[in-house]
Amino acid sequence: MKRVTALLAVAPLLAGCVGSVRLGAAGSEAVFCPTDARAVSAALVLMAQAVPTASRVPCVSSLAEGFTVGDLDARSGRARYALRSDAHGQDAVLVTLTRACPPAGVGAAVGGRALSDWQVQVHGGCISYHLDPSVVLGSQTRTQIRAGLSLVDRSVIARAVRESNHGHPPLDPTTTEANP
Amino acid sequence: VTSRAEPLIEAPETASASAARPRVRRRPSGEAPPLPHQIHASGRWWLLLAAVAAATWIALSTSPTFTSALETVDHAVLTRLASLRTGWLTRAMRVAGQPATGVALQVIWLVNVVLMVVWRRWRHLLIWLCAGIVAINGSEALTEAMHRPRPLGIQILGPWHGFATPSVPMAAISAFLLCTLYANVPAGRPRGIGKLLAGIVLAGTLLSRLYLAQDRPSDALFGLVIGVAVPLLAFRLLAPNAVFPVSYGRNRKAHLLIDSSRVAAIQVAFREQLGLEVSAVVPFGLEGSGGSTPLRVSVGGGGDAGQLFAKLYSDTHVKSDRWYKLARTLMYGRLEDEKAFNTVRRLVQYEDYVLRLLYDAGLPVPKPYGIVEITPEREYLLVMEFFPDAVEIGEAEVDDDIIDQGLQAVRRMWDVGLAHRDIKPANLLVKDGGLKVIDAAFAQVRPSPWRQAVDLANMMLVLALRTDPARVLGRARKYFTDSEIAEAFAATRGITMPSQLRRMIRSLGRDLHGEIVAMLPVRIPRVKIQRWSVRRVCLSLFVVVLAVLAAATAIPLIVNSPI
Repeated sequence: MKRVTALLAVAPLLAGCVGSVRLGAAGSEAVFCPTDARAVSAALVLMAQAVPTASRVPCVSSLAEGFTVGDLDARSGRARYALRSDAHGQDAVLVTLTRACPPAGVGAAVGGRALSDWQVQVHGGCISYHLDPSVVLGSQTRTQIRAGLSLVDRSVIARAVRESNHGHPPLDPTTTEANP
Repeated sequence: VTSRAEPLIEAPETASASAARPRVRRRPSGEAPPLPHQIHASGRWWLLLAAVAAATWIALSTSPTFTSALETVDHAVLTRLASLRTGWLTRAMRVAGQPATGVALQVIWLVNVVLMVVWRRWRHLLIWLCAGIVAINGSEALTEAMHRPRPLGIQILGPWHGFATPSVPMAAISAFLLCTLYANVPAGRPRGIGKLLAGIVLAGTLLSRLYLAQDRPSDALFGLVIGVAVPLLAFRLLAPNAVFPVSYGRNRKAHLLIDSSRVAAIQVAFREQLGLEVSAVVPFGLEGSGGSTPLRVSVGGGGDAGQLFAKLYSDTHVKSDRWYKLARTLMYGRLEDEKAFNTVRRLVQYEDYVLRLLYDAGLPVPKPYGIVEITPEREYLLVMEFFPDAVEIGEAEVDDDIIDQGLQAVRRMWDVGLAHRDIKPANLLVKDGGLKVIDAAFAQVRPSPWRQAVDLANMMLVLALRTDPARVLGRARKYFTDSEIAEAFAATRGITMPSQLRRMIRSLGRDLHGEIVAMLPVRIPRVKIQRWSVRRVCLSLFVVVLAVLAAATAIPLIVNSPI
């Protein structure tokens, strides 16, 4: 009985070891932009769900050398992930998707220095990029980082969801339910 | 070789005992003990549900067809619920979903912590913490592994965080409510009502989360299964109600619940292990016992039922023993330091052994009848002779004969190298003009001279309580020298006397100790009671550091929830 109990107790944990679902890829692959060879990840779907009005969702097309993608923190109204510098051992760039851009302050130049934060406004959403000032990066690395930060159209994500679910249910509601 | 499976012990003196006694039976390998660890039928159901959930997760991870089918079913349910959305219903559902929010969980946690700390349910508190953390962190780990998005194709009206399967808020509220029930609600009717209320709260929360489309039905149900199965399993295996009952009564000592299941187990165990039929089991003298659950066991049937005395020991008593010995080491130092028992089996084996030594040495102790196993490594009965109609010495007529018997008992223990170490009125009984010494739990083989001396002084003080000091001293000088008596009284003062004896001397309003010392023709030597050792210093430091660490850990834990 003890062995059966122990087996049943750990079975749910074993289930988690099997792998990720079809849409999603775990770990640093999660927020990579879809390509011909790479499917839309569950993380991108979740980001799209976090801000259902956003027409585009931030993704990573390529990583600068010495950088990895940190954990995704997605919740209703906001999704965020970081690019982590292995050399500095901390998050260097924070990418945040919200419904609207935050008020002035973020992205403002300080003391005439170069901009460390910037925003991209998309239809129904805003993507904020914040570079941690404590992480000193060379200009080439900055360029590589900026070049690797990209956006994916919501329609691409919606199409991937539709294909994986054989059309139903879709990513977004097809009919407008009551929203009291 | 043939065997009649005769019991090791003789039956107590009853007419029926000599008649057809049941055969002693060896429990075959794999057969459950008389009182096995139980998780009950509901526990098995929840385990089965957990297994179903696990199988579903595996299918979700490996089968696109299954994932798509489940998504379709989930979506159909959510769409149906969404069709009912109205302003007032949405407001009501937001309220119904409040138990699964951070603030509500924090309140539940704080209330539970206060109750468990006030009522000193440390084991329950530890299980509460571990079960809560396993349920919540386990669910979170699963969501990260599953990577299943939030409900698709529907407007989500409530707040959410992270991937969807299983629902972490549902796992958290289920685990918190289950832990509350098993850690702070007494079993029986109160817990039954509690389960009903918890069920209503969980149903309301689940419905709310589905209505608001925060979770899919499968997400919520999987969270619920984890949140119920983990604490249920933890509490039923690690703090079963029969051994660690939740109680708010005044007498909350280490006494076990003598309910019908335990009585039935005792009957089976007596029949199979001692070859005795038990007709009744009743708690006996609970108020005088904190170290075990004392029982009077009737064996045989009809009017000639024999009586046995049994001390029921369990894990809780080992824990009490550990704390007791730690406290004595801290209080007395080298005089009283000794190692605690690390299992209940060893504790019972030791007491049975010293009782047999005392009995074989001819001391007036109950005849030992051996050990009965109820649950392996968890619960044992130490069985011995019962003294019917015996009265505590504090209520008995004490004459010179009784005084002599008491003093001779100490003399005999000195001669054979034993000490009782708990001589007090509750442990000295008088029956038919004979003195009986009971409770050998603290007895020791080859004790220190100090411990032997304390036995003598305590015996003399108990006897003097019911007679007078001069008379007891006069009789004592027949068996002990003046210097031995002086040493005994030098070693025995204040905390070295059992608290019951101290209390009774105080209520008498006399200084019995001083009166006997004053009558002695020799000066009493100086015997240091407080003796420091490296072990005592280290233990004292360890306790202080531990207390500081515990406070430093407890404060943030109390202020913040375990999640």
